[in-house]
Amino acid sequence: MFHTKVCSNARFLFVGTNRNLIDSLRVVTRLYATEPKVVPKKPGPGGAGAKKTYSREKPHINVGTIGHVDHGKTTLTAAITKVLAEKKLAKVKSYEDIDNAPQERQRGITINSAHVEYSTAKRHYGHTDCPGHADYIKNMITGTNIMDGSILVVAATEGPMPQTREHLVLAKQIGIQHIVVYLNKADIADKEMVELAEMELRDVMTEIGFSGDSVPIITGSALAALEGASPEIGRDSILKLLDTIDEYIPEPVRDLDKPFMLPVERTHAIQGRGTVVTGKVERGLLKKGDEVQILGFDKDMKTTIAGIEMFKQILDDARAGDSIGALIRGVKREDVRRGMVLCAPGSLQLSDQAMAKVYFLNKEEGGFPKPILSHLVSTLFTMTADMRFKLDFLDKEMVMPGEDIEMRIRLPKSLVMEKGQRFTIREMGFTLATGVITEVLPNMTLTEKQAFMKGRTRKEREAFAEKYAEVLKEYTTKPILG
Amino acid sequence: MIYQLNFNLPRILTLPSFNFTRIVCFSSSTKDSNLAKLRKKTGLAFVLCKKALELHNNDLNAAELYLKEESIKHGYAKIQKLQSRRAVQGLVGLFMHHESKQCALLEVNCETDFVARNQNFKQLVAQLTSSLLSPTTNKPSPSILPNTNLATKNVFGPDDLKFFNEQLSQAVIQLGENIKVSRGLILQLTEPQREDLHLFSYVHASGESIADINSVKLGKYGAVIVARQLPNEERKELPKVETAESQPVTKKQSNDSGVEDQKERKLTDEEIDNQEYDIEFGEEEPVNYTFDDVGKIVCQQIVGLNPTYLKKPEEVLAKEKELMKQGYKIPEDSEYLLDQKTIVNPSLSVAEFCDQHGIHILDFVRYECGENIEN
Repeated sequence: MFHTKVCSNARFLFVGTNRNLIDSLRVVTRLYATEPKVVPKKPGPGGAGAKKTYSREKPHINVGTIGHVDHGKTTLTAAITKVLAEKKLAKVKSYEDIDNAPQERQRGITINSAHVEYSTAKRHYGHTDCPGHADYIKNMITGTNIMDGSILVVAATEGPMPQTREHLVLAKQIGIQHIVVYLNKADIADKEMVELAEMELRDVMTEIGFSGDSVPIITGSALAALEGASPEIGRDSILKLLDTIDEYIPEPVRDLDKPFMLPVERTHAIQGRGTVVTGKVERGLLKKGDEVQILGFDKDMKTTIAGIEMFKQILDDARAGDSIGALIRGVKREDVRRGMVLCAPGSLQLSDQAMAKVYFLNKEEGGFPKPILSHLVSTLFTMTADMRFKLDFLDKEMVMPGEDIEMRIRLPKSLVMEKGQRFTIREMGFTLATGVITEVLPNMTLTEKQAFMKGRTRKEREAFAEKYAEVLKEYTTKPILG
Repeated sequence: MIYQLNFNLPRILTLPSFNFTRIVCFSSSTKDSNLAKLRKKTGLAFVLCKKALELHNNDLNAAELYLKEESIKHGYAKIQKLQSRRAVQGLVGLFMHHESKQCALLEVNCETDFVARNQNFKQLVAQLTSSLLSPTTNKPSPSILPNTNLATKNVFGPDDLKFFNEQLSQAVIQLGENIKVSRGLILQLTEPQREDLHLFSYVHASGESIADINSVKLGKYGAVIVARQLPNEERKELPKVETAESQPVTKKQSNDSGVEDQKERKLTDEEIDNQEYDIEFGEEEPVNYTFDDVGKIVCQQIVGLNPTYLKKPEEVLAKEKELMKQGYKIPEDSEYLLDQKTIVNPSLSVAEFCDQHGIHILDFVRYECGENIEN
């Protein structure tokens, strides 16, 4: 069996001298020795067009490079693939491959991110490089590429540029906590420059709010690595950088290890048994008999799980990713509805106010073709919930399609909102925008809420006024911080 | 090696003991070496600072003077070197001088929006924009386009703006990107003493708040209009248009009764899940726009909907009338400002909106960063 495999692979290698053949055979056998499980895919009828199967053995991490245009981001990426390709862990990508084809740029196609993959001994990496601030923000908001960590590339000959501050602010904005610095061009910088650049960088990073003193800084030359010259600052520096990334950037928590959460999609009343809620378990683990909290639309209830079913079969426990029905004890059918969330008690909170970073889709992406003014009433969709609310752009008055903005969300009824939660805004048959919550604010005070809700339906307005008067009475008797 | 010797000479005098190994001595005082000082003062690249120090025997002051002269030269060289690189990002600076009723618009481009967000770059654009308007600036006579009798447009092309190159070279060397001034404009009222003529402006920034440095506004888009305030007798009284907000309320009421009907005949599970909450935002109170508000709204309209012309010329109107007679529908998407629907109220055209508020628009200018730059 083993023998045939080698042969089938080696068939391609019957080119060149005998020595070459022996070398390549050795490579093949070595590969088999380290990864016995991986069955090499035989080329299909198309031969060269056959695709490799993605292996899930290593944890996947997304990283990206940021830095000044001339400081060697692309060269570094190319160098990484070259160094790793020597270990058969990546495919070599030349500078031109990564630097989005200029012909395409000329034809007016803007490719706004380059994507490269490679793996180290421990992990598999997706590597992004974007040209501009707005591209990174858009990626972050739409969730196309969430970076777990980032490599800041700075040329030691020039030191941090004035816009390095902007790069770090961006990293902060898109929620990157782990930055590894690569001080490039060490082949043409002297020791003093490197030291000074390092010092300045640590200062700037501390100023922006990163732990500047402990940030790992690796000095090297991506160009040397790419050209195979002076290995101590070339190849070795790249390997050191990759080791540092392996260690310094932590793996994101798996959904299964997080506290349980299930957004309710449907509810059913089953006679004689009670209420069943259905939905997909977003994260965590649920067992029969677990205590859960039901949150949403100003309601907060506690109950226990009386039974879990999937495909009409009884389950002992449901895991993240399962679509289940859960029988809940002692909750009326009318009290639960789509948009509420079942969660582990105390793990989530109801709130009606949050800050968010929002990207407004342009016309080509299906967005609204005209500028959007603040205070437009529209519908917010998040998880399974939807709710009418007013856009609040704070100090700005309007947004053009294709722009991103920092926005405040205020909801008439509180929902489960947490940092990093995504949502969509739709109105008039258009998907106006998509966004991500950056910060949950404390709930609105009654005065704020009244001002916000001014002019609901008359019935509600009266009911609110009544309740408000009651609360006010209470407030006047015992002063509480409002 | 020579350099390092040079470097340590002045330090021997200041350090009390010189018994450290070279390396320890080196790293402990890198922080206050001349290179660090020079870099801090000038903000220029390490390589340049080092070269200056080497040429002047590590004399800080001489090196700084040299850098000042050299950086301009170096900047020019760098401008030449980077010239071919594509620069479509950047900022539009708008400086409005209310007293003399003059306005300057300037577009400065750079390669990435990281630089466009940088404070140094913003300072540069603000400085250039205000100096474009200031009479002391030695500028060439631009091409004048007298569109109307009431306002003059002085248009500067990239060649007319060469006199900014000195400032640009400084910025290029600091920011290390291709930076260029691509166009500029001065809008003047020919009779600034007239009370009824006004200039209104609006700047729109993309993704961040609008910067305001020394009353120069910076953003990705800029728009200016020349408007005349109509005296009361010239104003047309338009019949009050039914506001769009009143409609959803009636709709809602019919919805409510529908829900009640459904309740009587018992809801299915799905209907309960999908029923809407009674959330209704009140009708916006009718806003009374001031004269300035109206001007700003029209500018926002220009920024947002990118009209090319002010109004339809007579021939086009005649042609359209003919086509309408033949049963063709005129597309709504308009490149004529006065025909567009206003952004604040889609049931009104800009012409109607302006009439309502007693404004007559004579001319407008719109700048969008990077719109004229081809690859």
